[in-house]
Amino acid sequence: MKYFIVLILLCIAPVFTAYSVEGQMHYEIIYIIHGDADYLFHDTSGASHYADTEILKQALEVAKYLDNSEVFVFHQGPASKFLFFPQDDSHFYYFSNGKRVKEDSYTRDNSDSDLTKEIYLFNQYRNKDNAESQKILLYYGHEIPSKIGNINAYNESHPDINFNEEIFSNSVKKFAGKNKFDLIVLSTCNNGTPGMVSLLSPYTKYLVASPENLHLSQMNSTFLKELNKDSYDPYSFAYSFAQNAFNHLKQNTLTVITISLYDVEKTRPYLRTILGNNTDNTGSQPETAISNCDCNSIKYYLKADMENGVTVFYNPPAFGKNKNKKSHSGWGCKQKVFGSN
Amino acid sequence: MIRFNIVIFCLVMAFLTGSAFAGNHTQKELKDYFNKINREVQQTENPAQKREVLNNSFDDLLKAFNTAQQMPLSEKDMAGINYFKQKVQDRKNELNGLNGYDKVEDASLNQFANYSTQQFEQSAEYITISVIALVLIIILVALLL
Repeated sequence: MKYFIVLILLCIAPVFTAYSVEGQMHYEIIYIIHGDADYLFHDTSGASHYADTEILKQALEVAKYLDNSEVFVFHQGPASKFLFFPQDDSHFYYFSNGKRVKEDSYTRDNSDSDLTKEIYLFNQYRNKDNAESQKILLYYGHEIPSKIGNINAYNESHPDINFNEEIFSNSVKKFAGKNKFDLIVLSTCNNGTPGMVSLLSPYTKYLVASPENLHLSQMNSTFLKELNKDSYDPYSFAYSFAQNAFNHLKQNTLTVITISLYDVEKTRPYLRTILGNNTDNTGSQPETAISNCDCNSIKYYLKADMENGVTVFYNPPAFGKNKNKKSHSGWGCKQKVFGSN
Repeated sequence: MIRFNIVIFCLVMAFLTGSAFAGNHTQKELKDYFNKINREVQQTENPAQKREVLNNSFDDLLKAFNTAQQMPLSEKDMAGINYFKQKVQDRKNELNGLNGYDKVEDASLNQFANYSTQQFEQSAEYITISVIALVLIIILVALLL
């Protein structure tokens, strides 16, 4: 009898194994971490931190942990030279199901717009059999400018490499291929704008971004580890990611924290009303005006449906003129005058 | 003397080469300056002395920005200076309860110093590299005198 039960178990085991593999969700995750600028900040104890290297460490931890994902990590570093000869300045890591498959360095140059090298490496190593994977892209950096040369050269040591919202969205299009991303995270200042959501709307279902300044400690991404434990629908995951990042920031940040989750499809009517077909009208600033504000403080952007599709995690600053501001529309616009907060 | 050498080094690098290396160094120096002031406030016991440390540092910064504005700079540089100067002026007004701000309470001075540091560090990215170098040099020279 005992042998009979063992025999039955041995017979049905492959069936269960096949079912669990087939039923398991698979993910494709891309981290792009910009490090060619100043990312130094001090915590409240006075200790110094470099945001880009800390996010890189976090990304590699996530990549090692996820045994059901392909994870690409790109860290764009400042230009490096040895005796006037340019050296590789950026690093690329590719993990498949928790195993580090490839690690390499590469050089960025001005031969094309930014992210060209990253797209090339992604296409070179990506497992094209995983076409049905859920896809997530995380971008960590400073505010992606709306125009070339808007505030500063984006890449401090490569001022000749162009980068702006349009170049970014074109790059996202190439990363996305035929299937939209389930989630794009922009851990940057002031990119939760009507213009940016509009530009990314063809390529993602959900977008998490900040319409305000974002503290340099950035959006924590360790919540991605949860993908190993549970199956999430894309909205629930995007919501929990944003909430988790908000809670992390709240622990040590005294400046304003605003993280918006955009359900891109649901924001379309509002975007159509305020932007029409004019994709240049991004709600962004002329070159010399560099202050941002809540779109609901500008009459033109204040519409009845502006809240549709937007979930906002907001904590007012501890000081300043906006310390009593109770809520945020979740949309960032630019002021033509110098604001104070 | 070491700080003075850093200033001269940054000046040469920023104005002659305009390199990113100089930019990163000067931004680091500027952020370290904010952090140093913050540490000083946290370590000072007396609220009146905390206020003095903060007011003096805001004054030093404003003086540096005003001096920088006397120099022939591009429109973009001027915009950067104006932006930062306004941030500093706002913090000074808030510390002292001026221009419509509620005065920061004695018990909140440590938190206010932390807030100011975080806000200045976030704002630093908006300053052009050459301006950062310039302002930093003026601040440090003023501190050394």
